[in-house]
Amino acid sequence: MPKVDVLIIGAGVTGAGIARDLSMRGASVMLLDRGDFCSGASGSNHGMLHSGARYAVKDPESAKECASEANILRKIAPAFIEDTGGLFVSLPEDDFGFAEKFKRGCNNAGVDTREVDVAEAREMEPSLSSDMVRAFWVDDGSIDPFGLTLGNIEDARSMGAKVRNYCEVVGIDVDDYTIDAVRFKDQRTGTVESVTPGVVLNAAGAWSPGIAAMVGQKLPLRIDKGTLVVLNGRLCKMLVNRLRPPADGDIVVPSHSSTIIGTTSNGVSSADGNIPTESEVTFLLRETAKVIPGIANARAVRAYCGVRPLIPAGGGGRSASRNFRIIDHASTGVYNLVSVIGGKLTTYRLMAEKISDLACEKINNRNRCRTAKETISEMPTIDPVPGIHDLALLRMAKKNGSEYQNVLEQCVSLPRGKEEVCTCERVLRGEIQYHLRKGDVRNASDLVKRTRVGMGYCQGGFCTLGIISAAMGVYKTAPIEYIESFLNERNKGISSILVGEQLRQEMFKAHLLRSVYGIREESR
Amino acid sequence: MTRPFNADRCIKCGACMRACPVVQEETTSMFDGPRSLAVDSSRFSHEVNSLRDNIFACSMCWKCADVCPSRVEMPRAILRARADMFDRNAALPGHTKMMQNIDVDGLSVRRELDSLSLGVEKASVLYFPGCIAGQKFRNIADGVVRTLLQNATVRTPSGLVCCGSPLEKVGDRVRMEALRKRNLKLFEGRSQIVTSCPGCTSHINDQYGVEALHIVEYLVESVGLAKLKFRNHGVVRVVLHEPCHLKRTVGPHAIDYCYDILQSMPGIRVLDMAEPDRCCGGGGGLLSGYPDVAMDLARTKIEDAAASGADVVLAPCPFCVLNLKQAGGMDVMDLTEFISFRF
Repeated sequence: MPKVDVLIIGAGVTGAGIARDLSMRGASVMLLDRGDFCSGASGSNHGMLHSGARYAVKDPESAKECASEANILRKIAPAFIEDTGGLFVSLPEDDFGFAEKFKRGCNNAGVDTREVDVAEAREMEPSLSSDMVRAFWVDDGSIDPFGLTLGNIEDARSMGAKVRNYCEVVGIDVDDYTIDAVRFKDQRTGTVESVTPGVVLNAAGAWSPGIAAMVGQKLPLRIDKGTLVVLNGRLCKMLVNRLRPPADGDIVVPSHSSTIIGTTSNGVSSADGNIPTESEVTFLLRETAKVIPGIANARAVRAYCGVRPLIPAGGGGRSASRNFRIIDHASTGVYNLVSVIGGKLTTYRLMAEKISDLACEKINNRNRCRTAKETISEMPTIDPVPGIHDLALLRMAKKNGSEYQNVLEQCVSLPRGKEEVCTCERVLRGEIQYHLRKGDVRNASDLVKRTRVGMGYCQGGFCTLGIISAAMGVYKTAPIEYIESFLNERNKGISSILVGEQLRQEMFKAHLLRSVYGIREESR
Repeated sequence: MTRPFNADRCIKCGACMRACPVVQEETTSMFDGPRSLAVDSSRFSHEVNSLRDNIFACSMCWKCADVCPSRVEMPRAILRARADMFDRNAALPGHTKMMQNIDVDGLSVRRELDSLSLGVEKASVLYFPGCIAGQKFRNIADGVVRTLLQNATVRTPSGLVCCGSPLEKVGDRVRMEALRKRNLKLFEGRSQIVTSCPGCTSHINDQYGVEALHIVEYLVESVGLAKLKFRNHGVVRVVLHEPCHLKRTVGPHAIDYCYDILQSMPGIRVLDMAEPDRCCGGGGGLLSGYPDVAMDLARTKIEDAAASGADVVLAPCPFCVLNLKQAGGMDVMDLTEFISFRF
């Protein structure tokens, strides 16, 4: 049976960060996920790089962590970060006194902030409502969670880590209070494999209680659903927050070709099967339009939701700490199992560092963490390429980071590699084929995370056929199911926002796919 | 008829991309095309500078907006983007030359003749010749005046300058406004403003706040077809190239008027040609910005016209005439000049 120093379960950003951290320390690492990478909370959040200001009043610990971690991420992952800057804006209906608490909180937590007068704020961010009464500048930004997670994974792989998606843990054997084998099923082949880990790190997010339960461990967790809506185009230049105690519909993030508004917060009983509801979408649109009036007329192209794995103590939902907690199950009967819960995207690296420290202690590895200093991905240098649009190159660099040159090489060398498959997001055929060939990609939805194909306003109306064609170029067959699963996945995010332009778009898309190409989507 | 531009209405049906004459001629490797430029790329607002490359390859023919089922006015968005990123130092050579000409004496082309000047003090019509008919093809201007004089008194004040349309097309709103003010002073009086250039016509209508009529509109709407007494000067087979600005920005009926006039002329046979309203490449700053692309479009147009078996291709637009003549291979004449010989 193969052995590894550390087995990590759950390839979200935390798991990926741990894999990179431990690989840098010379440990042998395996990282597994039952689905694709980034398929839990890591793939369904705002993509917000927190300055810490949002937590400054209620959760100073998180605020401090965010402030220092955001600066570290700017250094180690510049390709995936946009330094948009942020504003906290209050409206007449908001508690005026909160601003003072906010100022104090930021000062105490070391979060950089500066009050700007209303006119200046409007100059910085012209989309803001003229009703605004107070505004603070903060150092928020936007971050691409897919790029960041995949960047960590690729870097870990380059140092020897074994990273596999679609591998579900099906059994854990414990002997003498110690895990001595973990069995997992590769969903591609259906075969069950085993591995002997020195330590098992449970980083499965909202699904981590299930892993703990396999060895009879209880892992109390509050699962909290958050819904977000994607609007077409960048409606603001800066990240915009509502200046009030954290509530639903507070944040607007410009990201790639879209604007993401969110979020909601309510406890749910299961990590699976959650979908955004119409009332959540309506609420978010109405609430964020108070701060950015243009949102009232914007085109919502999609909604999605994620599940936060929150620490249960200290109240639920908004009042729950966004801090993280590491649980060493040694004290409760399994010596080599460690779980991590809570936390957030901005502080993933710190979480990974702390949990890796504990894992290293258990495997007698004395190497120190280096993730705060060594770069995951610089912003690649972009030189013009004949036959490829500058904008496509820039998009490619921002999505792929250090893999940019390899992806570009495929676009240039493959026949038809420079063809634009997704015109919303300017994704080239070569990019699609690069990721198809890499082996991690199992269906077209996995391509979305890696290339943003289908993320534009036509939501797969145009690129679907390009994906089929690109996939045929790799697989030599026409994978129609492949496309159907992709369309069904897209549909999950569409049904709650189907009005106006997007309804017309869907009618057109359905007609095009059905009447011209015979592709049928599942009835909703 | 101004509707607010709303890119969100796009459902990506592709009609505009298929209809774009520059895309048809040069493929998207040379020109992004209307949807890509005006709708898709504008979503990456912070990265919009990379559009600079080919935003001037649009000929402003308005065909994209015409075929759009969602009524997205892409040319308006492209014009706005050109104005937003206007930088005289980064202008294309042809556009720089045009702006230099404007700086010298207010015309978009180099002055070769004294400006047309006709002075009947209380004339019923003020003829605005524009740069091409006024300087490059004075025979067109002469033809217009001859035609107008059949039924009206005419004046053309000296000192008229370019209408400003070419400056709008390159994004130079400041100079454009200066020209507008100079012309407006000379427009004072009660005369009906008549032009022979569809570009001037729609620019004056949209930007000056006064009404201008293209000569074919004037002849049909103000004079009346019945009063136009044409004589038979022998059989001529013609095709009509339908200028983009006349068809899509001047008025809904202007092209119909052209056919009405031709059909009322004894001896004239109007033949059909393929896609008569496909752009010839003469407009929108394409001719000065990308002369080789404009030439490709003109050659295709001439081929289509020649295939009809006509003796001459008529275009009621001096810009089209200029561009089509450069392609060569067939007689090209401005419709108004042609009309003036048929009385």
